[in-house]
Amino acid sequence: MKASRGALLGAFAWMGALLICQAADVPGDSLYQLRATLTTQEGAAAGFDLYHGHPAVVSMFYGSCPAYCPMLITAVQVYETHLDEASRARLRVLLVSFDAANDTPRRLTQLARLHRADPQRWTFASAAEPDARRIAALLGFHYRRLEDGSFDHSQIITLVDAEGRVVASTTRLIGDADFEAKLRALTAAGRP
Amino acid sequence: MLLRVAMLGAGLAWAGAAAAGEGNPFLPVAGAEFHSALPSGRQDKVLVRGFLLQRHPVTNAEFLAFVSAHREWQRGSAPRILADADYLGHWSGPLELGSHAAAAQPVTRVSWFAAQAYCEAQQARLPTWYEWELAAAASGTQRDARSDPAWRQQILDWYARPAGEGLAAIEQAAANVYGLHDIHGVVWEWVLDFDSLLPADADPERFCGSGAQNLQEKENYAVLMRIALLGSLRAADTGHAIGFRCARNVEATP
Amino acid sequence: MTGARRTGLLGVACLLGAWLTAAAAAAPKPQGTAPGDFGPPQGEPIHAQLTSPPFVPPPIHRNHPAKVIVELEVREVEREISEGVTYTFWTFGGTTPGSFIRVRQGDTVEFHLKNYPDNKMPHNIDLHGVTGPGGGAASSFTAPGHESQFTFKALNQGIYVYHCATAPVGMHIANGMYGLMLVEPPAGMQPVDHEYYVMQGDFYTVGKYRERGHQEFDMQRAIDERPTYVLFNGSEGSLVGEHALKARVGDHVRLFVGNGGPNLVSSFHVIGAIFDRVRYEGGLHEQENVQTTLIPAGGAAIVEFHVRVPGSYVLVDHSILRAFNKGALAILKAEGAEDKSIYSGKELDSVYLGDKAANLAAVSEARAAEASGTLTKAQQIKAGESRFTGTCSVCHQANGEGLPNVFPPLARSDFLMADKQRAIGIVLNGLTGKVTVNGNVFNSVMPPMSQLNDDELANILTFVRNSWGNSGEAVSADEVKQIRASTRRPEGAAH
Repeated sequence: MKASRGALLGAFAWMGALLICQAADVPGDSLYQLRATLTTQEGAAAGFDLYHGHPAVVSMFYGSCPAYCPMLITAVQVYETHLDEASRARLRVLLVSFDAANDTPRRLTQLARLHRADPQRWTFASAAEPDARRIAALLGFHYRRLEDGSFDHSQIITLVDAEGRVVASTTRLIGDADFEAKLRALTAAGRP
Repeated sequence: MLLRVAMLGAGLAWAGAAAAGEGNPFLPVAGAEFHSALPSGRQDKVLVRGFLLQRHPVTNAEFLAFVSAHREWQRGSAPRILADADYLGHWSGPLELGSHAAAAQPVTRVSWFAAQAYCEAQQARLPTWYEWELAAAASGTQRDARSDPAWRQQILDWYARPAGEGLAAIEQAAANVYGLHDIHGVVWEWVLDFDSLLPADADPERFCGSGAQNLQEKENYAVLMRIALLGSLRAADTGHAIGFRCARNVEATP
Repeated sequence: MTGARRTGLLGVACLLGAWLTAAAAAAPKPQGTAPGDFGPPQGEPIHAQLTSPPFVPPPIHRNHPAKVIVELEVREVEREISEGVTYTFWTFGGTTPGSFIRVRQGDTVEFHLKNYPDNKMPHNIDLHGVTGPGGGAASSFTAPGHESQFTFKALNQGIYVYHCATAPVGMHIANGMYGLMLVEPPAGMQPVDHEYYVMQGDFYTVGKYRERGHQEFDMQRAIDERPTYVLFNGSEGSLVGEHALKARVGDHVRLFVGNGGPNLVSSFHVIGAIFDRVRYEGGLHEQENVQTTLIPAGGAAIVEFHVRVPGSYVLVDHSILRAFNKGALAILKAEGAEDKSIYSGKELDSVYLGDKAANLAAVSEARAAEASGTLTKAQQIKAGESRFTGTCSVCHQANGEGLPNVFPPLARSDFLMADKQRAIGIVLNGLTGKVTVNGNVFNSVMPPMSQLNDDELANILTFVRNSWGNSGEAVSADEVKQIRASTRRPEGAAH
């Protein structure tokens, strides 16, 4: 009698825990605790935790950006060249546009093709408001739409581990040796 | 001192009754071409579309109703990355206000993520800085009272009082021309784009250098200080004197 | 100590000092890329001892660079800026100026800035001794209830201002957010008998000078650079009376003097002393034999002098109306044997300083009695006498006799005693033109004394009307209040 009641209570507790701790599968300091929806370059809906399970580089941009954003994409590719092929294969790259109105899946696909991004590992996506604002707040990324439709925005590239915890971030497009070192360590063989 | 406590208690009780009965309606704020304190590209004024804004800051009672229905936002459940260690620290329990958090006081110690989540649950959102600035420029009699020294001084006077003095209940003071209460003088309020107010590239010097140079109406210290306060916060931060209220687009009224 | 022995000891001290300086100067060689970089910190980290003004931490006796941990908390506090006048100060460490920080050149300083949770404002810190963006301001912007940390190497020796640099900077500084950091040279500083910390600042309030009650910051006055108060160490009574700085005859005194501004430059002078040495602008070089030195807003200096005769030495901003009409006055009280060959005169306290150095015990007693409704005529007379000395006595003399043909007497004065209301009005609003007192004609100018508060004026008049043969009823604060309300002040007079 006691044993089965205990088992019943345990089952309820387990179910309750599942209900309560919806994001219990990621640690408390993981970025993937944030629930946000992205639209990928394929036009599909995806969660912000798209690359949960892989080390990933995450940043934000917008497609009509005249100079900086192309530089950002190139910069990430340059950081990637510092990795050997095996390490690179483990890395994922998620670039989220905060200008969902203009950065349609078609536009994102064009961008991806223009930069010859590896479709197996790179995703160009957009986030609508308020998800875009929430992702930006999480990353410490600032952006503001100006009257003429352009954006004023900061620069930050974030590196997260497979569980979504921030390992490093940089505001420098090239030459951040510390960021490179952490990127190399995170994508080395034998990392969980 | 005793009188002040008694009045506070009476005010809280009355306001509690009033708030419970009437809720926190969304009132219209007419759009306008507006001189913001923030630089806005090459324009002199910004066009702010009409919107709806809640009459008073969200109260402890209103926020309690929200976390009762949204377990993931209860104290202890909300992840650290979305709400810091002091989140709702003044409540006596995750679902209990206790003696340090009256039902009719504005809720404080809530992070930007929590505030935004509350607003989304009301089919609403946090107001943008421009929207808030437009609504806040009003006094009891004028839409734009910002050049009125009395309006400025009243705000500066509130800034000069440390937050530990005891939080007033909502709607103790008169409303402004839009019918909005407590825009000034009770709590700081989150806005949607709180962290993107100043030019992004001015980051290291934004408090002394180019950020300060870029701000228009530099003499309007009352507004500058609000921008400074918002700029000091990160989205997961909470504060003893930081609360919020929600906004809606005019078309989005359910 | 006899003169000969003192000379002997001084001689030994000088030789020792010179030898130590030479030895120490030879020892530390810059190891890093910048001059003043003596390499990595050595030994256990040190928790810096911070002090509240006017005191400073003890001199550093260390011959190697160390890691020094500084923890400074910002507190917004309501305190008296002048008697009966409160103001909300924003402070580093609970005081204006803020805590004094003392490190050695080459130290690595780990700086923790804490913003007390019940503060309303964000704050940061810009230390002028920091080489780095914003002097630390960029790395220390802290919301209430949070703490920031940054580390810097103190590459340059000197005495440096620090202040809050959060927008609007002028307001944060005007509310008292400044202090001093001393970076000692590697060889240390020459030992002296006393080191004190004094910092000038200008304050801007909505109400007038000494207007009672809680006063708010006045932004327009700050922009117009029209201060209400100019003060040493954040309040009018901070360094007078029982709070005066102390020294003994023969002492070698060093003052670290800062100027937080926000707006005014200080013409710093010590009445009765000449500065033997001034490290002007806090730089490396010294000037000698200086009467008055300029301290820029956001700057500091180190002045040294020897106390040779006893008495009150008065620290002032020699833009002198700031000292006597806005409060920029502090006292160093020196005790010990007189030396008539250097100075034979009397104390300058009462006449020169007026009510600044008066014994205010009687005044406080009267104020307390008035608040509890038990004020007696005798208490009024005592308090009035305190205030009369140095204010009215300057012209009417301590014995009430005035100056023949110049200042009318108050003693047995028919003019004074004939009309109480008229007397109140004259003290408030001044008087010019012919008056006849005890049969003599006087034609002088009496300035308005409306900066005196109602109770002060009532007490003074009660004293005057009951001294030197006068006998009359007391004057009440209410009567003064009525006359103040029903008459107009001349142009430029206080409220």
